Amino acid sequence: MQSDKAAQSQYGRQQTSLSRILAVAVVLAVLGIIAFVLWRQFGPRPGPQYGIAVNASRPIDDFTLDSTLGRPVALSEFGERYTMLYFGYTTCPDICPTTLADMGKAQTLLGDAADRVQMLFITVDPERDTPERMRDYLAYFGKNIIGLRGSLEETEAVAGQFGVVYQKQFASTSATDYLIDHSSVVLVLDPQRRPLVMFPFGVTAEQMAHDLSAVIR
Amino acid sequence: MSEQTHETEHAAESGGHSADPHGAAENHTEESALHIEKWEGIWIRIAVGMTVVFIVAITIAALSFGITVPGATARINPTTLNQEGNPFATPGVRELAPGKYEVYMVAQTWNFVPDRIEVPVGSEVTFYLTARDVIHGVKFAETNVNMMALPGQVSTLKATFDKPGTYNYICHEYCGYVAGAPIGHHTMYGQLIVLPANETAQATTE
Amino acid sequence: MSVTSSYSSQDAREMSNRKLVGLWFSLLAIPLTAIVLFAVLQPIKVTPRIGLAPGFIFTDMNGERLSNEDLRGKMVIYNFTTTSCTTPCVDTSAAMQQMQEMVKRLDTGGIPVMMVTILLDSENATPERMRNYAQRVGADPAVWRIVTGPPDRLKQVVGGGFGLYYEQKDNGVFEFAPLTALVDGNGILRAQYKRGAPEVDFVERDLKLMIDEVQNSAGAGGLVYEAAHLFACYATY
Repeated sequence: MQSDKAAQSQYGRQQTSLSRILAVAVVLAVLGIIAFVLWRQFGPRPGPQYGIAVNASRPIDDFTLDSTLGRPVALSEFGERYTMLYFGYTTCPDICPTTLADMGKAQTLLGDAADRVQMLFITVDPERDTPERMRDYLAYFGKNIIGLRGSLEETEAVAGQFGVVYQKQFASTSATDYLIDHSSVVLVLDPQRRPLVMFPFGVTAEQMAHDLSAVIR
Repeated sequence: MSEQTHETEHAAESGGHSADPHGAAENHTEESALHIEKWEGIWIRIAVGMTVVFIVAITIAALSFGITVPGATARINPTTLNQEGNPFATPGVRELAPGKYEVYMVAQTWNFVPDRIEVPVGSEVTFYLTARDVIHGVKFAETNVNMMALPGQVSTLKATFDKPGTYNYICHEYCGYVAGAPIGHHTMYGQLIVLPANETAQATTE
Repeated sequence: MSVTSSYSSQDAREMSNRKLVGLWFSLLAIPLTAIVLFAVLQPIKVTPRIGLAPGFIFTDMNGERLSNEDLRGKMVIYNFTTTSCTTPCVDTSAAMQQMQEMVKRLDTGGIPVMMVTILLDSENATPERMRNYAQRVGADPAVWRIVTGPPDRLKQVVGGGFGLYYEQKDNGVFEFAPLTALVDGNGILRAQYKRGAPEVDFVERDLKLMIDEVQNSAGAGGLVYEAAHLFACYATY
């Protein structure tokens, strides 16, 4: 009887330890998945490889400017999305077109994640750029780049917040014949309007898309 | 019978194949298992698990998101509040740039200086608060601005006021009263008035 | 009966129970302790990324233009004062002279460090007066630039961008709060010192931290620095 019981209990103990190991494995796997998800969501990220990590804690003040959508648009309107801003003007010889083309291409490369990013173009030449002209210009580069235009003071105030400066370079004595020397950086803000990444001039579309998919949660 | 029992007990002690259910071994092993009912055990595990999860969440929030009790940012000697050059010597609202203001506020027994602040709508206001004598606190109704005013400490919080109206602020840390007189912690309050566009900011104390 | 192990299955269950509890405990306690220790001991110190420094185009004492674009790639120490500083203005000249000496002897590993003084009294700050001021404080133009700008732009940049309160009183005297700001080579504001006169030791310490960060954050080091930014510092104001 004892040996019977012994055999039974040995079998029972194996059974118990097997199910116990299984239970432990399941719990560990669940915890592991939860930890992994939390890490991906909240943990330190490798950060942008080609752009400059800003990750500032002070958000950009909300501003409202006229837009190519036909109505004034506030930055806070894009509340749930990341925003990617670029300052330039439509008669810019080569820097703006190349940067805008890269932005548009990055948007295509992002694929589904492109819904999470809103691209904005703010003109530093409000005197010559009209919303219609901007709309036609931006259509060359991307599907959904919204152009923004404010008065001279508004533009200066908004650009100043981003550390973007610009100045007219007159080519002749004509008051309308000028180029504008301007900071050429692409800035990415998070949904809380905090600066996240800065792409200096020269970052390609593939690099932008790579960094964007790294920082977008 | 007794021999069998003896044998069984002996087997249990020497650790052979014991057929005893755990209950019977209690008398013999040094540490004995505590018998917990199945559902009780589950309930305890859930409760402990929740506690652990919340402790971890609070730790992460405090350390990586900076979510802590607002907002001690500096130390100050409370006896120097009236010295020249100390911004708390001239409490009130000051404009930094169009749309941005800072308010230096002193909490004292039993009023706030200033007790009336006016700012235009849409402005971002940074509050710097300290106490002159005892521990006070301030809470601005309908906003997130809620901080302690400790003598020796400067508390800071930033708020943006997008809707015009009157926001009352009160002291929410009991700081005494005068028996029989209409003054005390319960009369310590002020008003923040957010003006519709096109009006200027000012602060007064009555 | 055969003895196959030195403890009963009762004890075995007991011990594997214990091991299990120990395992769960350590699974949670180890990362938690690691985070807390990291935040408390701060093996890697970083200066916080407060915000983007404001953009400006100002003119210096020789009429030359200085913009924040010119300062990209350089770490800059900003301070704010007037050409004629008497009470209630805070005179930071002595501290800034020491700062200049510190900047000159600091081993920056090739990263340029500069100082920029922004004069708040733009109407009074004629090029002549600015040159006098520069001479008075012994500013070396290679390292220390002195600039001013139009009043409304100054307000936007200094009041709005740097968050400094200043005001010209009725008697013409400027009243302003003391501020020294540190901006890194990417145009990110990294530190603000709001004491009366900037303490050169603190600025030196923070400059070294920033220089270390630039030099060491390639590859895996970058991840550790990002963790430091995440867990060990945050600026909420």
